[in-house]
Amino acid sequence: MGLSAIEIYKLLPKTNCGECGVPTCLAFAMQLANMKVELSACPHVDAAGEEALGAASAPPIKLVTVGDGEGKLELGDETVLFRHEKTFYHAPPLVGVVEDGWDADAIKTRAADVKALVFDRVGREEGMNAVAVWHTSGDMAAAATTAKEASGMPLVLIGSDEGAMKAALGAVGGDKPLIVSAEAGSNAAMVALAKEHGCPVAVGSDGGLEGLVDELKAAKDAGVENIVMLMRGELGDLFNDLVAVRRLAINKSFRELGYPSMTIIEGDDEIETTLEAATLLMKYSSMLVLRNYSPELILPMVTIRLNIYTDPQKPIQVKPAIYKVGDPGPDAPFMLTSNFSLTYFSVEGDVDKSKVPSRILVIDTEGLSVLTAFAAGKMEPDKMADAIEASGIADELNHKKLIIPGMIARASGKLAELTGWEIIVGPRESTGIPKFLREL
Amino acid sequence: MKVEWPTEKIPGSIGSIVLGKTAEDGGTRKVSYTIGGGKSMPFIRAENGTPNRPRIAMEVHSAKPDFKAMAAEELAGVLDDPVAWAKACENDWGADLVCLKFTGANPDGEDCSVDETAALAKEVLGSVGVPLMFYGCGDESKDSQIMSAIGDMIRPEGAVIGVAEADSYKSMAAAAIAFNTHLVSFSNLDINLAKQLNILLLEYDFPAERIIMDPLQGALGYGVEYSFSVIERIRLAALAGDKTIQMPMICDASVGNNYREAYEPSDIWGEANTRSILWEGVTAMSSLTGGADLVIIRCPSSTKYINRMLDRLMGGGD
Ligand code: B12
Ligand code: SF4
Repeated sequence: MGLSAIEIYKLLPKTNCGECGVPTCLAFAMQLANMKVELSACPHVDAAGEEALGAASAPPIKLVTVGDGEGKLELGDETVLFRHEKTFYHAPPLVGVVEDGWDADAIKTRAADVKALVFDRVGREEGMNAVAVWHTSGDMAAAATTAKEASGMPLVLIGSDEGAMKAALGAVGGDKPLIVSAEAGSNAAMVALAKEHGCPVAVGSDGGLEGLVDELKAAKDAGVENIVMLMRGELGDLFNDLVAVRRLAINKSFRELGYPSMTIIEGDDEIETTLEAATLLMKYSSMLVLRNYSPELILPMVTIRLNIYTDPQKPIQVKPAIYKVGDPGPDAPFMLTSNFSLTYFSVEGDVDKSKVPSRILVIDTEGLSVLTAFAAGKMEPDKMADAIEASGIADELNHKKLIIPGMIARASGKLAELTGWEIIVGPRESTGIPKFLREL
Repeated sequence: MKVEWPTEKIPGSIGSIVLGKTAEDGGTRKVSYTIGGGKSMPFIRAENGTPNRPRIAMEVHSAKPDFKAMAAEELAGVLDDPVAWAKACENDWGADLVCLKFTGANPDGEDCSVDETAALAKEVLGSVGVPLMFYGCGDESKDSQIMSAIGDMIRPEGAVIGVAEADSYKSMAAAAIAFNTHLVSFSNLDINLAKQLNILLLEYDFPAERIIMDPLQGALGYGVEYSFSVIERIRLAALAGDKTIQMPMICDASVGNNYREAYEPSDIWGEANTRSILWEGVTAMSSLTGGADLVIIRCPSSTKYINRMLDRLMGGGD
């Protein structure tokens, strides 16, 4: 939070009354410095202390909400520079684009496509999160209405024409879209509209980070709280600017740049723009507007986002249990795998593909993949044997045959000995499962 | 308001290594490169994060690999001709280096003889002018025979050999010392293991300035988050001044080709070739953004795009 425990302590009543739940003001100050407690837990801080501490304990990067109700987006509120230090919290929304100059059908189709573009990744639905309506030459209000109806997603309105934006807000302003001032010259007008409609606003600057500070201050002074930084520039400059604002906000408590940042990725070459977007996602862009659109470009984006924004302390896991694929009878194949989500869903997907109804026993490997768990001693034959015993699977089956992952073929002898089951070594990669099961 | 660059105290820096030796230095390479030398996190200009452009080594396999989709398509003409493959990497595809992987020598696979393998290395050496890397097949005793067989030939070239692992580093290290090459020290996604192996090598009197670290690259969707964080942690520890971990890093992004998203046709995932380039490309960008100084790449198209990204990240600005 920027202030040290001692600095905080000086602002507390120093009466050690204990009402905050810790015995002394100093202990409370230490917890506050580590962001373990909220300032409101102390009922006795005076107004001056509250102001000083309140400002200091506000998150270094503001949390900004876009949209209203279901599917609303949260940007910013990150607390670290590197994900291993804790985790990154708010995965950057990916925003598809429609232009108001397109005909209504094209807008409708694209908006619906953006909504429909959802991938199943490790048991989660991952896709794009908002539609941007870009004002070029058409009727922004009509386009925004169409986009909203076709997608049902939060909207981002991009433009510099005050009249067009006003009309669009008249149509969809109640949904709290993000207003993006496309040119620095239109910042004041767009900020005024944001204030009027209670919407978040994104402003940029042509004058580098120093100019940006001024533009952000102007927006704040105009009474808008939810501000996003529109970051622009050639890739190398942009990368450096994004690193700079993140460091300033987090390491230097530099409030003036403590807002989420958005980038707009443009360019004709879709592979190049996607690599650019992925790079900016890894280095701090809090929202990405993507001009190029198709599944093969978005799948890598949602995947890198999922990877970078998972909690490094806990891999995504599935619950250890017996899972049925299809409607397996007592003679159906029975196999075993780890509880790392990626592993389980790879296997499940391929078993499903085989069209052979089967049972999969997921054993607790603390979220480690098969080989990693095996190497770490979390998938030893005795552990597997215990899990099989505890699952009660024997009562469900007419057979005693277990298929194990090909990567741990080494364990088969011992496992057979411990369980008395016949151990069948499956393919190494789950992609081999359909053929394997059909030929079983 | 004036915005100062948020400088941090950075006591350490990444070591630098020269890859390849030209005639001037007694070798036969047409070019040589300095990699490493970073004084901050990658691509940060105000702190000289990347003074030397990271380099791309394209892989070439000594035995015909079973590639799929984009890799199979783009490399179709050369997959069973490592010499032609290496030449194309240099002449047509923009590789800075060629990484010859002796996969064909593996006793569990084709088991090509040491002589055959050495003859191939010789031919590749004579056919391309870029600096070279030579990767063993993973069988310790076979690899040590191969390295001895090619040692005299590669001694003057400023080559790189690999990989040295914790349980079998001595034979590789001995070869690298004897034949004056750089050495890749390979560890399993863990900063402490990376450090330990370097310490073992240093205790074995291996010169620090000839080590390149490989912390194991996970692929996009398949462990990239682990490698990204390990790479960043290694780089940060190096910059914090830990001398045992200040060696330049290499990441093998060709793993990006090995997962189904990179090759499987799909009604949902979209066009497969673009997806394939992106799977390897995003994997590579994660290593470069984290701190890699050298990446290994398989597909010509990925190489082209990563070179373009490097142009843009390195260029411009003040
Ligand atoms: C990411 C990773 C890690 C991550 C963990 C990620 C996780 N949540 O598991 C971290 C960094 C923590 C890690 C740690 C270690 N790792 Co690790 N790790 C990897 C890496 C790069 C990818 C693993 C992965 O996610 N694979 C993807 C999943 C989906 O694969 P999978 O679970 O095997 O499932 C596939 C198949 O097995 C099959 N399958 C699965 N279930 C079933 C079931 C049936 C019936 C069938 C037929 C098939 C099948 O289908 C799946 C898809 O094809 C691999 C190297 C690699 N490229 O594979 C090394 C690797 C697995 N790790 C290894 C090692 C040695 C370790 C460590 C012991 C080293 C260390 N650092 O101390 C530790 C142990 C962890 C611990 N807690 O102590 C070695 C294992 C060596 C061996 N041959 O046994 C590997 C192979 C690296 C190597 N080349 O040496 N690791
Ligand atoms: S409640 Fe406030 S005054 Fe009382 S001990 Fe806690 S910090 Fe001090």
